Amino acid sequence: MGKGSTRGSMSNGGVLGPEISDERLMLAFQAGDARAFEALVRRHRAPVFNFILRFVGHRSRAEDVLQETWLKVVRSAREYEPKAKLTTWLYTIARNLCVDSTRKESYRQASSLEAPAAGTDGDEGRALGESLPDEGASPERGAHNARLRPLLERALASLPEEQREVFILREYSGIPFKEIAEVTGVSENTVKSRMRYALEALRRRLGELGVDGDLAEDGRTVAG
Amino acid sequence: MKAQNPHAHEDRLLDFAYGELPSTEAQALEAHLQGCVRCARALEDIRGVRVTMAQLSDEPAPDAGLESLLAYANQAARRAAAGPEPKPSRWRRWLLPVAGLAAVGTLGILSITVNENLNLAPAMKAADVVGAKSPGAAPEVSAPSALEAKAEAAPAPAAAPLADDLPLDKAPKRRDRGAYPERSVEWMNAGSGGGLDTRASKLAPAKKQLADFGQKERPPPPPPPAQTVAVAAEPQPVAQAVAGPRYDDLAKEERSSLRLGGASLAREVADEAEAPDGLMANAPSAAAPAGRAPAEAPKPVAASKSVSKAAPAASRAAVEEDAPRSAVGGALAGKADQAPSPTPASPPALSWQDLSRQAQAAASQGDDLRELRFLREALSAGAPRTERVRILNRLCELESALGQDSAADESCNRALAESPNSRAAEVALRKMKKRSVSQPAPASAAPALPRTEPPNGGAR
Repeated sequence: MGKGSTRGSMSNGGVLGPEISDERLMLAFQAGDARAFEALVRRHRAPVFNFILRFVGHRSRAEDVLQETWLKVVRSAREYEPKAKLTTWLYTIARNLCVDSTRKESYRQASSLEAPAAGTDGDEGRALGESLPDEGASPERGAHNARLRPLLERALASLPEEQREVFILREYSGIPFKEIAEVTGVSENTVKSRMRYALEALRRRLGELGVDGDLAEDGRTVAG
Repeated sequence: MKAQNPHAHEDRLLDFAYGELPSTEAQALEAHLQGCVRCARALEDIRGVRVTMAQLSDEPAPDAGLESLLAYANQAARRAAAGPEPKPSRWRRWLLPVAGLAAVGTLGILSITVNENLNLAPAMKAADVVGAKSPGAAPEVSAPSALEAKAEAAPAPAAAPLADDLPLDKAPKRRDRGAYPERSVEWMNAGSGGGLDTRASKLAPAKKQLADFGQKERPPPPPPPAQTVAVAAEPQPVAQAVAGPRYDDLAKEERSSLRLGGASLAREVADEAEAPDGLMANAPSAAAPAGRAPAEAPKPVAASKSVSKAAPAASRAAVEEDAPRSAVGGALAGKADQAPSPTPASPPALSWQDLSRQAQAAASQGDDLRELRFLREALSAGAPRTERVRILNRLCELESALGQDSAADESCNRALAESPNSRAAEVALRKMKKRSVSQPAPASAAPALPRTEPPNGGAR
């Protein structure tokens, strides 16, 4: 589909519904249609944010990386070519920024390793799995997810970065293995291998944490 | 029996678990799973982890930064809609260097122009000096010619034209030299080149006054000159009267301008007045015809001694010698009584100028012998070369007229030897040829002119 037809369809006041592909929206934005970009943001902002949040494991850093990701999309919109899916291009940008942010954070943590830990002010600054409740807490139904979530986040955070990113991309972002290979820059077999290791590691870690599928489904706590 | 790996489908369990396995392969895998406990257990583990991790719900994306992001996207979209910006950006990229170069170039041109203007001052000074001499020729030619024409038209005796000619020969030159300070003043005040036009406009009425002066201020015709000495003495006040006012004006201008050019001009004029070469250099223009006048008619002069014809020429020659001094002195010092007396009283040690002047006075009186003696004495007193040629030429004429042929030959030969190409030498040669024709000599004598030794060869 040509650029002109894309612009024409976008500028005729047509509704930017879900039937319009990501690639068409991006081409429309390239042609100067700001609404197309807004549609892309509405469509992919939350999944990208969750990918970033699960990758970096820190909310405030995730928010920064998210903003940076979309700014880079705007800046690099002229370079986009519809050879691959937009999600592949979008998650590649997000993933690279996550890697950079994680490395910066690892350097920062290494430099302040002996520094006293700062008190956490709410959930804004917390890392995934840090808000794990005491195992002896009373298992109430309404508090089930609040207790299970930190366990899952801790299990996810325990994965190596290369396994974690593959698992997140496939499990939460729904990106096929082949595209994950493009995003991460490795072969598809490597991606699948990392996925198997990630699943096995999670299974063990969840077992260690007392969380299995039955408990989760039943709403029972690990301690419970 | 097939030699089949019981876990051959294990690698495809991931694809099967995430729904990426094609349907045919999925069906084959399901068939395998029914008979393979290990693969079934592995698939169950994958599904268990997925189910557990699916409990980790998505978090809503923060709204912070969304509006700024969309605004930024709107800006980018407008830029994209407006078209590419490479040309304006390139233009802006080149605008600053080009503007800088233009500014530097303009500054350089201005500085060069200013430097040229500054260097122009000495150049203009030199050009002014050169230009002051070249335009000076015009008044020299025009003013005297006009006045001389008026003098010729007027039926005045010889003394009157002499009185007019004297300042006219000198005045324009002095006037032009007097223009130095004026021009420099104009140049300094009105800028380069501006002074010439104003100078010309200022000179115009002065020229007119000068031209009119020849008619208006011309003194009444004096009585016929009874004595040439008196005639020669009379023009001096007249010359001062003519030259005086002009030089007074110029002196006033010089004093008012307070320029160095005025002082230098005064020095130049004073030097010229005192320099004998200056007098002689100016003399030939008018003195040559005066000197030739008696030479071309030696017989009438010697026979009748007619004062009416000889006096103007002689008096003119005498006045031309004396008048410049008096005129310059009268103009600069304003002292009419400082004019040298034309009386022929000679001091004991006379210079060649005095002797020459006395010789001319004697010639005006028709005393050829006395003139001859003074000329010879002037020759021995060390007259300069140009004057010596003139004296020798006059000696040749006089001696020839008095019948002293050998002495005449000697004088003529000396004149020829002094300056073979000069006009006086030509005249001397002509006299010798004329004399050799009138007095036929031996055939060998005529061509042996250079070898002819005068009897008094020691006079050479």
